[in-house]
Amino acid sequence: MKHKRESLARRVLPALSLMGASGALLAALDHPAGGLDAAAPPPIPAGDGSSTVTIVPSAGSSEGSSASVVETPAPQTTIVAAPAADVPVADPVAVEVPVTAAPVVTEAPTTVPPVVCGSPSVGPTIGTKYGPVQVQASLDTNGRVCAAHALVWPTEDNKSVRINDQAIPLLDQWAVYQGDTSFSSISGATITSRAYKESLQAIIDGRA
Amino acid sequence: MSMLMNHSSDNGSSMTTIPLATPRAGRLNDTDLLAVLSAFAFLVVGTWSAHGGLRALTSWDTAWTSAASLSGLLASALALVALVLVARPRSIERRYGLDRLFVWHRILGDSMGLLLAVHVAVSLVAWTRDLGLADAVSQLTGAEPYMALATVGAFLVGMVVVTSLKAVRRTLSYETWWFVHLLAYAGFAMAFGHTITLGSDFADDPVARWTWISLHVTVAALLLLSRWGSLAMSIVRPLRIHSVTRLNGDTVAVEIGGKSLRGRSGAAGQFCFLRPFARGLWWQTHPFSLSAAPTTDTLRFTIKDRGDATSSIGALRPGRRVAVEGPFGAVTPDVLDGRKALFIVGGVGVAPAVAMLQTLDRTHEPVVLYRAHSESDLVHVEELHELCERLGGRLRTLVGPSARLAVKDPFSVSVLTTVVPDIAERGVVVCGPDRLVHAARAGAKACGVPSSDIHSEHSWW
Repeated sequence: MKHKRESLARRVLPALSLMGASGALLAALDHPAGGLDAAAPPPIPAGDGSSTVTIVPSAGSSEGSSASVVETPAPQTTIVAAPAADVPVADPVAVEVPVTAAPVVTEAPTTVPPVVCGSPSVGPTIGTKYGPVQVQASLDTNGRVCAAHALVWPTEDNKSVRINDQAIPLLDQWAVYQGDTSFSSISGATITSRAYKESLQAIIDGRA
Repeated sequence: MSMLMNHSSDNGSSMTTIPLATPRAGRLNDTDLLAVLSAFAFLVVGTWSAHGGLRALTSWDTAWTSAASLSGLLASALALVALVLVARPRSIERRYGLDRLFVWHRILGDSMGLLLAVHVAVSLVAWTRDLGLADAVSQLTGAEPYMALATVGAFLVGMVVVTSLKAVRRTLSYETWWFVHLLAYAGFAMAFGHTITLGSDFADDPVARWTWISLHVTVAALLLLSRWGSLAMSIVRPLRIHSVTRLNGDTVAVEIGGKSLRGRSGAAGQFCFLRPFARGLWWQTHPFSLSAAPTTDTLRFTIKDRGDATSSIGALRPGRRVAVEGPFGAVTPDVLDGRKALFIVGGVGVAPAVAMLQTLDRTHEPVVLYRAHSESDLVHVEELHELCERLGGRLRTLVGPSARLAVKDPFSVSVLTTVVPDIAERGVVVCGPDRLVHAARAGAKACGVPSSDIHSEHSWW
């Protein structure tokens, strides 16, 4: 009976350390994107007194009534509405501009050349595992995106439909807000976002 | 010793020795199991195919995702079947034996591990094609809903599979391996969420989703009731050691009994898992064969000191409580089906033969071939002599190290047919160390005994 007592602690230790390791791993990995519900539209530009926001009916756009929101990239520059002659100017949809500092809306200095939204072009179709994505967008004279909307997006299954019903309008808004593809992907719709940007980038690069 | 002999060899003298109820015969046979498994496989692959899995394979854009779904579904399905076996369902165990259930569990577990590896790799490829590697990894390990949990779950299940590989398992003690193995429960629970939310198989199809969920709930309930419930019952209603009798230098016979025995069923030839409530022993459980036909009064086990906790069990005093799970085992007198019997046993493997002989009658004309290293290793010999005499059978012992035996192979055809001329018409029961079991099986087969008439249980633990 010279049997040495076996220790429970020693036997449980590997399992306990694995549990600890997985707890740590879980804490390190878990960075929930919050899903689509947390995905935000671009902020409504806040007037700081020195910038003006005007609505430009997108000239020659296939849907003549669709208006694009154009925001000033820098406070100094102002953008002037340049309605195309042949398009009847619809009531400029007033964007809520919480004017806090100065109630006066500055008129654009005539020295700055007017920025005009160009005619839309159609980007390439980008395949994803959920289905193809294709974007149509217009660039302004500065080469920035002034109008964008997706033409094709994955609708193969209900889940894709559900996701993209939310994600596609957000992507359209973000593209115009940012003027390029530097906006972040919509969480919960990463793959569609990625393909959207790829198609949009092709338009910006003039490859469309 | 003499007290023991009296008890077990003379059933008539004791007033209250009522044999335990014989466990019901296994209800499911090969065909039934195959049918259930085929239906399950059809359900799983059908679910995948019905949601466009098969069609998606035709395009590279979608094939990787589809392959990830299929490998994931199959890995889950194999895990479910493996978990059903853990529950030790009586309707299967009684026919096939716990040892075969565990072999199946191992095969299912290994295949599941392989499919899990494929699932992880293919999913990564599918996402990398759309997002690039860095984003794919970050999306798959944390950003997507339930994926952080699933990643950690895969890690845990992977560790369970790795520690069960023979090369690794050999280096671990049973309990170390077992405690790690328990993490599989956590792993599967963690991975469950992503099967519902991520794939298109269950997210969009309520029928498939609820079928899948109820399958998991059923298996969980089965495990809880059958596996953990029986463990809990064995602890809540423990038996007590009645007597410990030293048979030789390293072997003891332990008699255990108690009120809760009356509700159990069991047969000679089966074995139980013992968990003595004693310092240093309560957290481990060891399997021991019944060495006497079980009665409502006592279960007798013959335990050889193998240098681990088995030595401490021999040192326990009467009155000590022991949690007893079982009996389990498919090799009972039923397997002889009324035919003549041959027992080939080695060392302490004699235990189930003694128990079975107690329940046989003269039609079985039992022959017992008993192999041991030394005279002192022979236990229960007087009992065997007495039983064989009563049943019109014979006991042959073969003692000594293999190198010094007169015959090179004691289980060769010539030896076996000389000692047991009618071997081919007997049901053969083999019990002992693995080497003896293999040699005896091969010998009996060579003598013309069909494999279906050779019965043995391997020590898988």
